[in-house]
Amino acid sequence: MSDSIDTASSAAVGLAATVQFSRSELEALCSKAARGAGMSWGMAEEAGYASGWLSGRGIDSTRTLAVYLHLIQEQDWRGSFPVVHEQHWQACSSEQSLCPIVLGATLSDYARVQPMLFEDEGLSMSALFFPHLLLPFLAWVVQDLHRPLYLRVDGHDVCVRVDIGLRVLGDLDALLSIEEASVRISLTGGELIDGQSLPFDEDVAAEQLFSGAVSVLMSDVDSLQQLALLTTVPSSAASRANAGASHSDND
Amino acid sequence: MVELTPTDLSRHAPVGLRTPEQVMRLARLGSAHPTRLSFLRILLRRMRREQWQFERTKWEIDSTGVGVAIYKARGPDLTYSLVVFAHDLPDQMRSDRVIATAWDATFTLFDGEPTAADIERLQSNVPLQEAGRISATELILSRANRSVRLFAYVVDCLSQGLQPDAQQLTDVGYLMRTTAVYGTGKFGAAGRRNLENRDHFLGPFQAEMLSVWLTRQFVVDIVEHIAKSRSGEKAVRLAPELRLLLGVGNSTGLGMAPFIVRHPVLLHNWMMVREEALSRVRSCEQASARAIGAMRVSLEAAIHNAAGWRSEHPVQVVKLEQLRADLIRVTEQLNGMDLTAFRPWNTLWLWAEDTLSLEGQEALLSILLEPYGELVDDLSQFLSAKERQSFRLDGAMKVGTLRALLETHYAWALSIDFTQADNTARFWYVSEEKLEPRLGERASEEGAELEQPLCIARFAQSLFDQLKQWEDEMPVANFVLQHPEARLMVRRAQMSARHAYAEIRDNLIAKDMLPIDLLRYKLAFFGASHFDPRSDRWVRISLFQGMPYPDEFKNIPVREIGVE
Repeated sequence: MSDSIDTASSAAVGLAATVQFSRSELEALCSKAARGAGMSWGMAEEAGYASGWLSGRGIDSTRTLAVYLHLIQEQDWRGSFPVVHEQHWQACSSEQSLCPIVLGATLSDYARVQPMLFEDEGLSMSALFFPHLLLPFLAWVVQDLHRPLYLRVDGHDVCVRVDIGLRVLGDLDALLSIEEASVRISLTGGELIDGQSLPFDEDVAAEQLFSGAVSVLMSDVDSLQQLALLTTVPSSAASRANAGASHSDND
Repeated sequence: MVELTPTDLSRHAPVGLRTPEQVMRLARLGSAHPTRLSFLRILLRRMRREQWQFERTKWEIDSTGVGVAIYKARGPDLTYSLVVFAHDLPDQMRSDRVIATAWDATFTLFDGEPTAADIERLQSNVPLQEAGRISATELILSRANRSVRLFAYVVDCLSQGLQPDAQQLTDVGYLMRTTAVYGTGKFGAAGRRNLENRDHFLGPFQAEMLSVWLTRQFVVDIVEHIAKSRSGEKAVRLAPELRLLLGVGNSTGLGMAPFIVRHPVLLHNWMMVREEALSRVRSCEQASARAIGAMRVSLEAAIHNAAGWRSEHPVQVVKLEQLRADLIRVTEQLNGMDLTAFRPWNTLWLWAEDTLSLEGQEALLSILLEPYGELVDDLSQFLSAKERQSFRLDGAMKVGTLRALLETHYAWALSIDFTQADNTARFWYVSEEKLEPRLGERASEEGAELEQPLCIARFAQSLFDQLKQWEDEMPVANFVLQHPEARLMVRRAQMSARHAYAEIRDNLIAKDMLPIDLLRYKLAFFGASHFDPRSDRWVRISLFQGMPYPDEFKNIPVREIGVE
């Protein structure tokens, strides 16, 4: 095994190989996997964006995304789209939970249409998969609002705000561990003292934002690659024949 | 008192840019020539200005040409090292395609100076290329194959104490050709975001160009080394005027095509810069004697370049004939013109648009920019793009506005008849076997349901049709929630509002589409010359031909090297 593939120990998974990915490479892989799992091209790009955004802030979302994408592969993805009402959004299909990528993108789209979306009691959402995948989209929304947003999941409050860079206050670790939950997004929330500060893209130097590569588990990469391969076409004689030059390369 | 009339004012207004309708067509893009704003020229200019130093710091190559070499490039702030692994490749294993698993030489551009441990790590990964893994301390991964015939011939000549025939060198143009140069985050390498704070890599593909330029030095060094290993003191080095004739070859297939479609904002910036540069030169009201002299030199250089350009591909053979004939006409026109008149270059340009082939017109663009570095070189700072700033969809945009954007920027797509089989004859896909982009025939090949999203014309038309059911006042947010499949095209259409040159305005799945046009377009921006199509989807080129080598960079007067 080469040096660039390290052996890392992790309490959760035991001994597992990790591999270094650049952010752009990770975004590309996540986009392809999302497409392979059945998302439209444009929504698959949003999945790539979300993974890249999180990885650039030290949050590895490859595992969650891989798990989620394998899940929707089995389902009708459209059933996980939100039905948009004033104060409460839920999935189209009563059998399904909301897709965090579609929900995030839709929140970003609607935040500019309905600036009052998060006023008063805020916007509540019934069951949502992997709520932390919303963070990259909420980062967009808080820029529009110029006000902090509070994300309440399972009794945990996380605040997304832009002041000196983007800050996420609250128990981020708790948020990351939640697989499925109801969510409320509002302009007010409980008092939060401790928290993590995540740098925001445009406000910090690239080197601060992202020190180099992301270390991801080989098993998660494999899982995403398995889906990404579903976007490819098996080879045929015609396909091979058309791929190269018409002369020999030995000249 | 003299009155200033509107006519006087408009006379001095800058000449407008060529429109996207005019320039974003495949046939014209496929006739693109390198210019002084090409990426390799930008790199050389900067390195000269900043007095970069170059040094070969390691040469452990045996008599068969196998081993390790390192070339160091030291700038004012940072140092980079090209680490080379030279191999002994049997002829039957030599393939330019991405399916190859072995090469004559493999390279990585290292960020800094590698330690022994770094070299050991790179030794077990770089020769494997795609099957290996590099890290954020590496910027580029690449490989090259020998031009077997020319390489062996040059080694033979030098080992016998003779210089090779200049014509034979010119005919091929390189001793080795790269078959892939991977950068920006590929296979674990440092990503674009890591380099954003380094001024010298702000321009597009600057690390790639540096890597290829250092490779050019290695190629000459190894030829001389093998000749010397073979016959000792009898061997001679390649004469400076002969090695100048050699660039680094490059062999490129469809892999490059999707990049152009997937980076619309970047594409727009490249085109805007080029068109703005042309407009600035055309707007020059008087040509100085110095500029006229330089223009004649520039034209001579183009004629010389066209004379040494070889291709056997029928499409390119015709284009080369046109080019050579056009350049003679430009010479005649220039000789017969009153160059002291108002805006002489604009007069020449307007004549060319009516008279010359596309190949000739685009060559003239390159010729015109050459003497005007002071006027156009500053534009190179606008070639990059912060694509993420245009990524977020604007959900508040009204459907009517989106519709208008399509009518304005995609009229060319809306008029294509997609019920005609010829207009949907092809589909782009990625092969499972090699993960490389390929182009299939829809009627006869499997896999069209897995088509890649490069058929922008069809997407635009389909979006336009879907929007017919929607009221002008509805926000786009509502539309994309109902039509997630349109999200990609909505994003592109929104980008087009501020990036008019973002789209290639041709149908990329049409039966008669020539993929080599896409390749040439991108390669010309790199600074490639001597385009030699090997099929309708495969092209060989030469990089850095006629430019100085690292080992002579500081000794060659500026005016002789064509970089200032």
